[in-house]
Amino acid sequence: MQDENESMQELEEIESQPKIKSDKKVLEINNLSKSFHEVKALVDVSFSVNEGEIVGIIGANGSGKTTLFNCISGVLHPEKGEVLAKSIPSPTYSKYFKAILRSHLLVRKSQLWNALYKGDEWANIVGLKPNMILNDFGVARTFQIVRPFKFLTSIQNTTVPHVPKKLFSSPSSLKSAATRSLLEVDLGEKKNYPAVLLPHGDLKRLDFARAHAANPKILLLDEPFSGLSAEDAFRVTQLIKNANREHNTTILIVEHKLKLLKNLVERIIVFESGQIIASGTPEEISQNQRVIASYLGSEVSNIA
Amino acid sequence: MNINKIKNIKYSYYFDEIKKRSTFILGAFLLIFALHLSDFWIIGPIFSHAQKIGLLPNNQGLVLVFRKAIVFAIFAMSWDFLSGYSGQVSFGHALYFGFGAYLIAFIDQGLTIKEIAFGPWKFHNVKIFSPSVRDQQKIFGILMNVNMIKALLLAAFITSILAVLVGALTLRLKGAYFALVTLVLPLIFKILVGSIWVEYTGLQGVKIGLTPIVVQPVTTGDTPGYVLQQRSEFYVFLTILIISTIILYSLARSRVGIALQAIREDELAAASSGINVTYYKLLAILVSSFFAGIAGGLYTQLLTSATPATFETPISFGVIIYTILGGIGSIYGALIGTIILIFAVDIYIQNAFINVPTLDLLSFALILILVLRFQPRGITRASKRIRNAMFFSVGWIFLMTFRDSKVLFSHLSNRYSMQYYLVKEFGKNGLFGLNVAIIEGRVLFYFATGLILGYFLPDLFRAIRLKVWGVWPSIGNFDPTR
Repeated sequence: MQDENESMQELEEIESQPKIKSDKKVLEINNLSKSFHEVKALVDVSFSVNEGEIVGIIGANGSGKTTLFNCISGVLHPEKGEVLAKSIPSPTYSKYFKAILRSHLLVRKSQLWNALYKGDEWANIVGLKPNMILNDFGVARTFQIVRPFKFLTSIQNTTVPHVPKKLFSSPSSLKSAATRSLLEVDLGEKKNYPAVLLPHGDLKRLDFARAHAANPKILLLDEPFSGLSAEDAFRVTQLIKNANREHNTTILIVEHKLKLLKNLVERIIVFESGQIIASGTPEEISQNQRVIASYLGSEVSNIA
Repeated sequence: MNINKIKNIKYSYYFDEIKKRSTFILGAFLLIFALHLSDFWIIGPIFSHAQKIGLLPNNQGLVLVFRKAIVFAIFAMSWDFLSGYSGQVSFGHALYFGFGAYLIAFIDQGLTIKEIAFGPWKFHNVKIFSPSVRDQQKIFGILMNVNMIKALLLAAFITSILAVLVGALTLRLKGAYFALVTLVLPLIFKILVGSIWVEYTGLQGVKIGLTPIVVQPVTTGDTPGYVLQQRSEFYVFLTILIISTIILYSLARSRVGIALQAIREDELAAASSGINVTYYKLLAILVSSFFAGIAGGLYTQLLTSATPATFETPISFGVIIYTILGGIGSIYGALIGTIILIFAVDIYIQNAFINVPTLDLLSFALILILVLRFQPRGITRASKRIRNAMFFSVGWIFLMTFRDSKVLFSHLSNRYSMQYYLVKEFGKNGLFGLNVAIIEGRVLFYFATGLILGYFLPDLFRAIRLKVWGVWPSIGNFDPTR
């Protein structure tokens, strides 16, 4: 009982501490455009995200939110514009291989190779593969419709993101890292369940665990609350808050409902047909006439 | 306090894992001592009598079957590593088998291409491999051509490099498109090797005898030299099988295996979790084709020549059927499935049917349909009831055939044996084409009946116990696995 009380007190203390805001940019998007045949999904989108920030992105269906995430995480390649991110310092063995590659390729002066080699440098990540964007630039994502590895157990599911970083470490350290990231989302009891057997709420948390296991700097959450009950949504909210507080992860959340984001995010960006129409704090957004007119309609009155 | 808790381990918790390993140990034991089973207590008389009545082949026959089974077991495991784990279902794995088969012959006998036309340039007498030197050494009491072991490894290595070059072309293909390309590639190579390249390379030379791995010893006593050679070749093959099983199984269970399975389940999600899809797919092709190349090289050892038939479709499809029978996506399933099916086909099914000389493919198809319908995870991971029924039917075969030969129940007249009625009723025309007059046919009949009997016997026993005991027997004996 004592332990529980202490841990509750600690939790309250952590929650009551004022967050240190920094103006350090971690992600910058300039004039991003993407179209599918004649449909323009993104039109000259530009914004930037600071370190440790939680940013909500809202908009109607088909307004280009998921396309934005796909372009950032390397699933889709945009036609125009650039996504700038900071590379993370890489381990020595990978540095060694990169040095060899660098001496042999004609890309010695390119910004990308400079960033990969030195670490902590800005580079344009458009056109890179998803695994490179995750491992070298620390940008992880989850999916709108959950995509677990169905016939793997949940512990194997969380092992997968640890594999590239722990390629030469001992099996026990890999196992314990995977278990830790499973325990973070309260799925420790179900570690030997195949993912096909898990209910939707658990799968959403498993997806979050898989993205967070890679220890990313920026986490892109694509509708983390879709199809969840109020209780499950609360658990996911706590997970997001913890990830932001304890690991100082920058988080971008795509969501339809302003209600869920209101207590979570510091800034909201509103999309309409591929363009940013407004950005600001949740209160500002809920009073913005253009946003009300275009999308929110009756829901704003519920919040206010 | 905590240390005491940790020390107090209940080893019964690990029973499942120990049981799983014990199956491997038992299987290896049975394979290694297969030729000496007649020396063991209790098993000995049963085994030797089964050999006497023709239920099991004699030691020479066992060696011949197991040599072939070992070659295809390595091949099936390599297919399972590529298709069962990384999800690239290859319908033309014979490509790598054929590469290995031909390369070992080239490395042994040398390859000089008479003429290569490369655009405007022409080259004559290009020497690619020079004939290897025979270097005989005694290893573990077996006189071997050591250079052939090196040739085997080199052939497998070159195969894996060629496979990566071919595999890089098929990386972006998925599902049916990948299957179609892989289906066609070995057929192209079959034509190239069999007819088109023959004019330029003089490949006919490959068809002359190959240097064997094991040197033929002198005839001792009654056993001729070639029998002794085949026997020691069996042990060499068995060693290669055990080594490649350990490598493939541990790779499949390692972090590489998990990454490959993640790619199989969802490629995009795997890439978003940081897995380099291209790298791991090529790695799977590399490892898989290495062992397929080894299997091809060993197959050339069996036939003492490399033939274009190694590129043929039945070899590619056979390996899929072996693996599906044993259980896809588990290396040991491919191993056990191959050994069981080759044993069944070569000894029983080939001889058991009247008027149908080659029934391999048809029986393959029937087995495939039955397994996919009732046990899609393979017989090694079948439900407990079906597994028990299979064990029962094996025992049933021994019981019935021993009854037929009057070892058991010898006080009863022959008129009361199953053989008497079977031969009387179906002796001439056969039962569904099954020749029940010979023991191979009766073995298949007894297997089928034993399977059905073994499946429904538990129900019968439960019903009888219900009548006698008065309550449902499983009350108070809750078994969650049922």
